[in-house]
Amino acid sequence: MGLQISNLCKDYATPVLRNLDLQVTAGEIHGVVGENGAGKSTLLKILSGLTLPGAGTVVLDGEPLLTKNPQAAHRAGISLCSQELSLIDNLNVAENIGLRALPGRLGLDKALLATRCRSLLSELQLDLLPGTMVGSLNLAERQMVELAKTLNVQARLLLLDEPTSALNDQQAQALHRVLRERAKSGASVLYVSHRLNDVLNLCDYVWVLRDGEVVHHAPSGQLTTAELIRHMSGADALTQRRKDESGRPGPIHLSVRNLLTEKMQQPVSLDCHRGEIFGLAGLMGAGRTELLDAIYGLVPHSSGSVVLCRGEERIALSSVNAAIRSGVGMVPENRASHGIFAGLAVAFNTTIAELGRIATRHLLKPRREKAAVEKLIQRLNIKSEGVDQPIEALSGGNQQKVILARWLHRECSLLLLDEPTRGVDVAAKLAIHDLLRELRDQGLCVVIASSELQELLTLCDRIAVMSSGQLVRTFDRDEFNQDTILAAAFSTHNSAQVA
Amino acid sequence: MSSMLLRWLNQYLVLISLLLILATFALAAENFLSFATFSAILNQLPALTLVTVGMTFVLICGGIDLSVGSVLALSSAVIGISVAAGFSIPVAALAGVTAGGLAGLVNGLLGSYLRLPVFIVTLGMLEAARGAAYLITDSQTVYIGSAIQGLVQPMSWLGLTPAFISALVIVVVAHFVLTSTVFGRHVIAVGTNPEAARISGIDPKRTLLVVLCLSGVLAGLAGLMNAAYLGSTDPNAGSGLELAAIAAAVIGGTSLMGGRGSIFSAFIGVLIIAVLQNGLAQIGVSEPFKRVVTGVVIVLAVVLDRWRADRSF
Amino acid sequence: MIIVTKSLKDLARPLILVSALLLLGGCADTSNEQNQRATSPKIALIMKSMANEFFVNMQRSAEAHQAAQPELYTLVANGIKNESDLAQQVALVDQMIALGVDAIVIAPADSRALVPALVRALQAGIQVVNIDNRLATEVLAEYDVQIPYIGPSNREGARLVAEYVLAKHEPASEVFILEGIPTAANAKQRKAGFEEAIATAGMTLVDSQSAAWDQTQAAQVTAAVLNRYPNLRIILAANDNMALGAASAVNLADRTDLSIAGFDNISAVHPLMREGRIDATVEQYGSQFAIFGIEFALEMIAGNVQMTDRTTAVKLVTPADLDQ
Repeated sequence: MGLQISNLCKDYATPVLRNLDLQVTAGEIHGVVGENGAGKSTLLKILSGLTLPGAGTVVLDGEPLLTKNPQAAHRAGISLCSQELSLIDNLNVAENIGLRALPGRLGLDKALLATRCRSLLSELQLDLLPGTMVGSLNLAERQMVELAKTLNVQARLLLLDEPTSALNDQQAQALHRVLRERAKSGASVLYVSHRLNDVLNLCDYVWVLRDGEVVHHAPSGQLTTAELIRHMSGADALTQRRKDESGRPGPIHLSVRNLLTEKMQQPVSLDCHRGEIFGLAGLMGAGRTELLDAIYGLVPHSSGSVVLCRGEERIALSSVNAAIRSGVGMVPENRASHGIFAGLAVAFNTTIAELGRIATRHLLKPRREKAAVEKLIQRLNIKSEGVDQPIEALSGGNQQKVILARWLHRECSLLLLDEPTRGVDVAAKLAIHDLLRELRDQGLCVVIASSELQELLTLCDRIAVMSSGQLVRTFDRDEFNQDTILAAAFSTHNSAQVA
Repeated sequence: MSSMLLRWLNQYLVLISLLLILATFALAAENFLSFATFSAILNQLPALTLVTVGMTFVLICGGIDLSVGSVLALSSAVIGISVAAGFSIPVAALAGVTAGGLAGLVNGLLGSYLRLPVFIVTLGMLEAARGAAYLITDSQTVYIGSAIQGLVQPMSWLGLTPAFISALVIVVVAHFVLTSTVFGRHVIAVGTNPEAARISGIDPKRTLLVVLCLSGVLAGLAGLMNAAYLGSTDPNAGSGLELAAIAAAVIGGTSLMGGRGSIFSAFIGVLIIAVLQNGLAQIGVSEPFKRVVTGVVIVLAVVLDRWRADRSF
Repeated sequence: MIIVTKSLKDLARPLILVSALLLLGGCADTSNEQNQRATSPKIALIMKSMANEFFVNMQRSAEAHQAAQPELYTLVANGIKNESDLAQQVALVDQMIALGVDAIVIAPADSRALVPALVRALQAGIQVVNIDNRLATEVLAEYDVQIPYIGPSNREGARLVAEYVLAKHEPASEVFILEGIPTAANAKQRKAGFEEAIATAGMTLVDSQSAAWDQTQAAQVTAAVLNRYPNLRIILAANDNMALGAASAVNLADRTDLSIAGFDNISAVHPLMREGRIDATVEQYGSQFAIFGIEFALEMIAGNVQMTDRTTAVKLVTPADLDQ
């Protein structure tokens, strides 16, 4: 019993899946890992009826599975939580969660819907009211609601594609508990993630995909992250982590004093130096994104100040344009909606924040643009077919590199990054980390917010921890570790919630 | 070989459609392939061309300007009454274009800084400017006289009129501005993703304001062209012109969702519409049939464009 | 899309409120007037196309007529923005029924579509007089009602002007007709009058196309037709705006050997008639139509009139008439 996949093939322009064989025993959680483009998402799309296979068979609990469309897959007891969130902004949390199976015969049984929704939310430890409109939620909350929606149906096969990309560790743990319970009651679970530690902790068995094939599979107990990375990329040089180097920070560059906006709960003060990577840690909803948006001037300041120091010069920043003029750059949290210009070329996306450099008196010089962009493509090792390729044809990691290239082209002195490696494959993630270190060494001031604690621990020179909108403590490199930061992150919550 | 051919077809699809339509009429209508036909078509072009250039900018910037037809009427009405009041043609023309620019400015201020939906704001202007045109002309057709028709008298060489040549110059300049200037990049960026544009240091509100003003000025100029074409101004002029301009832009591959479009292609869209109108009138088909054919051509153009967009990946 | 509908809804709410207030205001206003002069009848004048100076003038003379003798009747004058806005005119009729007027004098935008609404008015005991564009007799017969028509013979006017212009040319010369909106009765009658004169004079009708009463469309259609028929000599336009459009197309084609006829005698054609670019037009004393209609309605309210149609005068206007 369980899921048996044999000889599954799928071609788009090039083969994406080649004779893939994979088995999931009922009641087990199986992890699928691989770099972007390895074929993980395509596998899940086929299983959930979003696309048809080229060849091959799929058997679920002894019956051949014919998933011509998502409705058929749904009837067969398959539930997918996809990477692209499918929530409807104008419905509330309960309605979104119940959308696939709304209770009630003729009318909508709202009471039953709310009850089901509450029990799911408490299972997932999500502190949301069922009546909240989804449009008002932040990205992490949306992802939790999407997960609740997936878990709402009694599924024989649960498919999860990067379910924790927007979640912090605590939230991810809650999800994993629920998944283990579902598996115990007989469901098969296929869990796709870039977070290798999560995969090893959660899953009973792990499948490694590369170029549409299974290149390695083993019980998770026999694997380590380093091994997984080696199998995924086919090389092991990427596993190096430079944790020892000591940044020698320069003078204060960014000085934030009692900054408050409508979206922030508490005024915040902090100082960041030239030549350091400054991390912002915290639980979901702790206010990291809101703080970065405020520093960048995306939201009007209600009080306080943001000052950029250049030698003796003090520049007060109050708007996006002032910030950009003074050499501040921003890599936003949501790449698709706030970062890239979809449909437009890599070159357009790279130079848009600083056209003056490739123009003479407002007239663009295409040759100058091409040269500048090609140089950046090479420097950041961006995999593209050329400067004219549309950006959405690139993988997530390469898109993110283009957005970084945008600010390198601009030559800024302060870089604000919000979840810069979300949904990015391991190789690209390490490359981005290396780039940030390089920028730090060149004397830039880098501020990075991330919900992945491991990322901050390996990358940052100092880490500030936020909790309930408050900046509770800033740790130096020799003070921080997983325990001290988590303790600070929970410091404003009562102990009952921690347990 | 076939892929080369396909790519070539892709690139010149709109132009090929135009040539096909021309060939059809050349076969179907007597005297269609004549100098007189082309000079008649060229005479009709300037107003629609200018309005379409403005519309294409607005569409690429992610907006829409429904008021262009009414603004054209307002501008030509201002020109008409200015001439009737004894002002010289240049002064009257300037007044008309200014009126168009002001209408565009109002659209822009309401649409960008008061954050009202541009669709609604320009819908309001469509009514208000038309009403203003009736008010200032007292709902009467105003005769201007032949002085203004100098703009549409063919110059000795080539048979092109000053009106057509200035429209052509504006097309070329607009195409250049869109593709090769910082401002053009900003328009495309704002139309593609206003949030990402803001984070990249572009002010989406200001860009939209400028683009709507531009559309107003061009509609005002179109009012001058129309008055010159007719030698008089009719407050009903240009009703439904906004739809013709949107159709021309869309035939030229402009996306109604913003971010994508080309001024040259939109101009070919204008030519297609003008040739269609003229050819159908020469064949002598009935008014209802003309409208059916025009509608079919618009939808067909969008189908072809979708096909082209799908192939380019 | 959802956002658009939402904002449309938001916008609709104040609009509905405003129109409701306006309606209330209108009602309150008229009831006051009713109290003041309970005896004098209230007559509604419903015009078409307030974009056309012909109808604007008509309404103005009616207002002047009422102002000169306010004790005789009260006037509620309304119009629609252009001839294609049928629904708005039907709504106006219903509003006038709700207002409880004694008579409706209407220039219908369409000769058929307005009949059901006017039948509702008749059923509400309101006298209805038809001016300008004649309601289709077969539709009136279908509803078994009579609505008197007061107005000129469009056919007679068209025949007059066509005869005058055609007489300037050799027999068998080529003629083109610019029609109005094909569904309108006056457009049909004018076309019929043109055709009658063409047949009598022995001319050749090469083509007849609609330019929907519009100047720009007339110019475009004429330009195309001039290319198709290089020997064209005469253009008969069913209104003056189309004659103006035709004249500009003829001018741009560098042709001076054509005759153009219009209809309505609007002021903008006078300069062109003096220059010899338009040959003749027809005066139908349009500004008096509404007054004729109102006077007829008053007689009907008084109860001393037969339900018969009345024809008013039409007059050919040539350049010679302008200098007088």
